[in-house]
Amino acid sequence: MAKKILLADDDLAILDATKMLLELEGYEVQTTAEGVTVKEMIEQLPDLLLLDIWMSGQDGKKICKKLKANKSTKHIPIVMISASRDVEDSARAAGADAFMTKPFEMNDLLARVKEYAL
Amino acid sequence: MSINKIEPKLLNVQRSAAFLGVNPATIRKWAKTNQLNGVKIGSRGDWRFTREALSKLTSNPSIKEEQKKFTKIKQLLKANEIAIQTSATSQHTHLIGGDSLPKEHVTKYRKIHTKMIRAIANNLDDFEKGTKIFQDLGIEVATDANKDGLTIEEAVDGTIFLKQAIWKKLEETGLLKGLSTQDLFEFSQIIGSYCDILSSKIAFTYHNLFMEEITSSEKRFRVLTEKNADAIALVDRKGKVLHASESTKKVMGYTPEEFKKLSNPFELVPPNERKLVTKLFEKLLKKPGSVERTKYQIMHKGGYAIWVESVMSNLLEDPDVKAIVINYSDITARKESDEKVRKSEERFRALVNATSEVVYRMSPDWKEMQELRGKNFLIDTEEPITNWLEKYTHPDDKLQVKEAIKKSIRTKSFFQLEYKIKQVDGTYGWIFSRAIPILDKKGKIIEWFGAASDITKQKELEQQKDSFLGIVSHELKTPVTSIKTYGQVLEKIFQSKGDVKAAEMLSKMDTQINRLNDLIADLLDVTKINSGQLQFHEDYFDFNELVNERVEEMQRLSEKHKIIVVLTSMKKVYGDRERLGQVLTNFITNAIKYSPNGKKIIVSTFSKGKVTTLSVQDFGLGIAKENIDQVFEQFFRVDGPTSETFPGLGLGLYISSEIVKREVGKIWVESVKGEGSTFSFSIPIKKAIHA
Repeated sequence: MAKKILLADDDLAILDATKMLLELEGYEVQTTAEGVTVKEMIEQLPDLLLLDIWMSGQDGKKICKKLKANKSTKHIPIVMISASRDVEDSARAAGADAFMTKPFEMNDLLARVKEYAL
Repeated sequence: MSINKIEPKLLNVQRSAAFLGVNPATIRKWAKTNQLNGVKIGSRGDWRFTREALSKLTSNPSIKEEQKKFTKIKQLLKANEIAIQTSATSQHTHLIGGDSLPKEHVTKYRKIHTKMIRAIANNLDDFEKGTKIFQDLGIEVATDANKDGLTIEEAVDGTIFLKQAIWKKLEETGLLKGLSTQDLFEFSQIIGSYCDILSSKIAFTYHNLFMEEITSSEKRFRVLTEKNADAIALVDRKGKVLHASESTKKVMGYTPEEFKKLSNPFELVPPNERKLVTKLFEKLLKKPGSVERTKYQIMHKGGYAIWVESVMSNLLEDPDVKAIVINYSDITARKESDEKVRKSEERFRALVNATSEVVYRMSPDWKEMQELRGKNFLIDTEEPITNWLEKYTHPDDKLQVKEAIKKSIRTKSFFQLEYKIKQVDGTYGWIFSRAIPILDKKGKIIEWFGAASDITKQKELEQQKDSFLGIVSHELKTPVTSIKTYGQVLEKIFQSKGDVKAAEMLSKMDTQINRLNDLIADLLDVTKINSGQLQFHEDYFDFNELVNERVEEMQRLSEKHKIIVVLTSMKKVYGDRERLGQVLTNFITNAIKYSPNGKKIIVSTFSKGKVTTLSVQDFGLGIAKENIDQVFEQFFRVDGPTSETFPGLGLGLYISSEIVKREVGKIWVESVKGEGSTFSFSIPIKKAIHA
């Protein structure tokens, strides 16, 4: 069965392009530009969450912390993405399993997804 | 000059002492023990003696010893290079043949004064020597003040004690009578450290004065008029010149004979001032024994005006003189220099007021603000305020300011700093402050003179610019990310369809997108460097592995150049792998860019001692000698041989050098124009303590 990936970013073009890329590799991709709640995660239970740090109106790090603090969602791997490398430390401190900078190389992204999608 | 002070009939203690060349204390002792006949006069019972009585004493067997003592004091004075006049007795200066201006003596005293105070406070040897002089003068010295092993504080206390004792003594002798407030003030200032010398000095002056007095009146006049640098004229009550000194020629250009031919000396005074002077003369005539002192201009025979200080003494009733004595002292030079000082001071004040800069004066240790013109930016300081910096500097900047000042004081060099400071309205603004130390002849800092400008607006704009650039580059990255991803997806699709040509084009497009991204990253880095926010993620990593990785990447981009790798560094190093990789990539990018015809690039590493060094050598254009110092500066770009410019923002090497600096490393370049360049950096292998 295809692995389920949830993609969260406030830029629609990035969501669209990344979705295409991952689907081309055979993943099942859900996207959101609104941020992610614990409730949604429990409903969808993806195999991996690709989470942008700078979501408009929402701090990706806070979302990450919340998910990692909840019993039902803490097992889901989270790869955080940001345009700035400077936030890597705080992303990891928030519980992210991996960190990537934008723009990313296709091969790097696929390697990460393969590594972390359970 | 004031001959009127001479009272030939009865002499008081001081004058008698001077007459015999002994101490006043000795005179009193003799009077009390009836060895000397005298009378007590006035409510205070001051002693007066006749010359006859005093002359009798010359046969007294003890006088030789007393005179010897006094001579010894004089020698002591001479050894100390103490002038024999004080400002208080400067009017007698000329009588004893001194040529210098009293002003110079005053300056000299101040110097000796400080020197001696220091000696008393710091050196007990000198202190004891000083005490000895007191004792020789017959002035009691508090014995506990010259004990061995006194602390500096105790010694200073001792001088205060002595000062009081000596002051009292001086009052008793009546020497302070008739002195002006200023004279008394100067006395009180110098008395603490050497009023012993002072009192003997006065006695000595009187002694000399009376030595002159006992000679014939003709001789007196000769002494008066010939030894003197001042011009002296004796006139009758109508102003007719009876006698003029030789020095009239020197002071006003007229020989004594020419001077005598004037109907009166006031002819030489310019008409507008003449009335004032003649009025003064009339006033003088009314009161025998009185003195009038004034400053005015007189016309030199050469046709120009000179400034004189004139002292007129009414000695018409003095049986030896029977004339008005006018003493002219040429003060033109003093006047001119005073005027010069005043003008330059005025000009300076005008400058201070005209400039928009804040201007200030600080004490040598920066503890006290002496004066500050705030120009509506900072609060004015009219009276000195202590701890000014502590009060007005922003808490975040205090340490930085303190360090900078400490360094400037230590090196006695220019102070220059930008920091936040409390403004007139109580909010904090930015100031750019510069100050220079004013040094005395010995190189000691007297004060700091500074100017400061309000750079609040500038700083705000700078911060706005930085944050704007930060937002811009971040926003640019978002579309770059989606374009790059779309391109990669497309490339993958074409590849799977077997359209190699289209896939290749998309791969090339990706390379260009990466270039665009690098430019954006550089821009972001520079704003971070400028605002001090460039972050580092440091750890130990395999240096050679990083080099291989980056070289491989770069080799893929340029097939024209062969990148040769010579790796001898075997160790792991400590630092930010990503950032150091950025420097290496930058070096190689430049090597490729600036060697359009070059075939090879050599990348080498080696470790020696505590550092690992990396070098990138190209065989391209090289850098001209005059430009070599600029290559690591912001926005510097090299022109090609045909003046073509190379693409780039001119930020790469600037960012590289900032990165290496932050990693406590060194960065440098060796280059020969036309032959190529070698860029290198070295970093500590072990974790270094960041500066």
